[in-house]
Amino acid sequence: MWQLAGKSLNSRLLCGTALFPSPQIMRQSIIASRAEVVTVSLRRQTPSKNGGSSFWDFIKSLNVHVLPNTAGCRTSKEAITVAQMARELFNTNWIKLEVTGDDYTLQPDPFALVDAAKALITDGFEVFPYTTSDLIVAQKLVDVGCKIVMPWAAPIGSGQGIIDPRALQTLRTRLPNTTLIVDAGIGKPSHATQVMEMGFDAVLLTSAIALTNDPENMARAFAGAIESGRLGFESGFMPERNMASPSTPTIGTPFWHKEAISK
Amino acid sequence: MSYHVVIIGAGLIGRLLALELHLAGASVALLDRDSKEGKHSCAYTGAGMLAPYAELEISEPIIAALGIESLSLWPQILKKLPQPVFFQEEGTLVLAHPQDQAELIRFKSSVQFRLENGGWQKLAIARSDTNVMFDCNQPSIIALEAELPRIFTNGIYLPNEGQIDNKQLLEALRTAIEQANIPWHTDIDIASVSNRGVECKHLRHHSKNVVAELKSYDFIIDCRGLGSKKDIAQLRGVRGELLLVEAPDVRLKRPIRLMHPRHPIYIVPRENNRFIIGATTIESEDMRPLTVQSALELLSAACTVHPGFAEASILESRVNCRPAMPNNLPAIILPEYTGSPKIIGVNGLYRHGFLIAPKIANLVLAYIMNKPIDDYAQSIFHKGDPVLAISH
Repeated sequence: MWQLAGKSLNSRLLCGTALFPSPQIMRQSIIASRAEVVTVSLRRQTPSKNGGSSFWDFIKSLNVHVLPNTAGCRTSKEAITVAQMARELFNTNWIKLEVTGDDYTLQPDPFALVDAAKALITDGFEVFPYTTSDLIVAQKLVDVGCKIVMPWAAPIGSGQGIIDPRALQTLRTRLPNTTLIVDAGIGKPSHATQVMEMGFDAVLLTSAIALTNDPENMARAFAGAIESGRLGFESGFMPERNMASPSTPTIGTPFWHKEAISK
Repeated sequence: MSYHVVIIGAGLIGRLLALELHLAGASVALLDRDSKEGKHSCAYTGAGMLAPYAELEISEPIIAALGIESLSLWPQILKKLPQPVFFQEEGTLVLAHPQDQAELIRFKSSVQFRLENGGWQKLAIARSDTNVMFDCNQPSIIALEAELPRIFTNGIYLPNEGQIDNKQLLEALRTAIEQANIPWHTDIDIASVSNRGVECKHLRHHSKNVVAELKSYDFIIDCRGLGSKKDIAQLRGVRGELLLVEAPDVRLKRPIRLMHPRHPIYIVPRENNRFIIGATTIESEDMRPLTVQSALELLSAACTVHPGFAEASILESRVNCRPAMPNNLPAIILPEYTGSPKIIGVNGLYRHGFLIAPKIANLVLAYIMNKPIDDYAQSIFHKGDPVLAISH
């Protein structure tokens, strides 16, 4: 059990709902992933407005917490408006805040992001800001009141894994009391294990599950990978040594073998 | 066959079924909320791509199987029609910009995976499935489409695919149905078809005939697409938008699919330098006209495929919502499920209408005439399958 914005959760995987081959495969995959939080896009999956009610019914049938996002917004003003609409439509004060700074890489605009986060926190939102792995941006988000920060591992949808492990490690070390969720860039289960081993609180992903040949099994793979990484982190890793240290006694080894090695 | 069959919904599948049932000897009547032009049917909006292999990128193998069989059925259907319909089998070319090569790799691996692991033995496809997909380098891309810009250094060619002109087909089916003297009642809005009977909204001028039509029948085939939503709870609409342009400077011979991480598009040539550029896929039942955002996405992507599109005229924008089941597969909903011994639903053709309609029509005919049904297609016949029962 861990706490995310006041909710007790078992799973440390947050899953997107777009890009799946069909709503049925989306549903089966999310069940297999054991995710308890799913993101939905306000722009294109709106429950009552724009007639998205059928898709919304599938999401409701999952009985999970919904994290609406502001995907597609390019200014802080736009993101704030979308967040306010999302609060009414999805009946939650959670918002995954995305403000795109570059259309091709979808790299977040850190300045607009901090502005929007500040305004939304004042307005009573629980803000989940999607940002790069830059420490100072993350620090500014914490300064304006974010309890959660979601750095990328790599650009969204790229599946490149952790492009800058040092930056992510620095974030974890410098922001020990902030909930840090790695969002975007994960391609393989091992990438998710790696960030969980670094001590991140959770992982958010979509493409790495939805765009595979067998999303349901990949969802299962990620559930296991994230749990493994977390258990590893909590158990404390053995320190690395720069020489071999056999775990079986060497008493029975003939002495001339030892000498051969020491030469 | 001496049955009297009432078909409700005169879109693509309704028209095909009317003609095929008539030719099989049944007495048929068509009821539809639309005019005979069929502007409200999804088929009117569709691009008419017949791409069973390319669809494997995101569809289950059964769609490809139905599509492969349908592709060989189209020429036989077209022979029965009184007007020519543009139909060709020049294959499909799949491209991606240099920065999006990963999309091409994903496309290929996805298609390959389903070709190899799709349980094709069970699907009993007679047609050879080797040589269905080829890698193209720049010279071979240019050999296929001479006008494409040199930025396309890699592509995938799927030779065994085709296309059909959707509007010409709807028109030709209309003429064939009229020539066969099949009664066709337009502007009849059917609110519900269920075991409680057929409910009509505002019966207008045809009311007497329609009441007579519905007095005695052996089967009702409900082909209303999204119009059946009240009766099939699991049905949803998936919004699609496309543009028809006239581009005198563009010569492309075959459908082109441009892979992109966010805005994949296709360009489908029509006769006389006309092209369909489509299509968005939005989980929404919103029927408002084409949005600026979607138009920008479609058109800017098209211009990167061929700069000649910049000088094209936009003739039409079309929007509709594809009827889809939760698994995005077609559904033939049997009397055991509809609760009435006489009602059959044919729905959920989603983005695969032209691709699979001929085979779907054949399967419905086989069911009505008590003929054997292909093993692989059994799974789309629903008697009360829990697959459809998504609990809300």
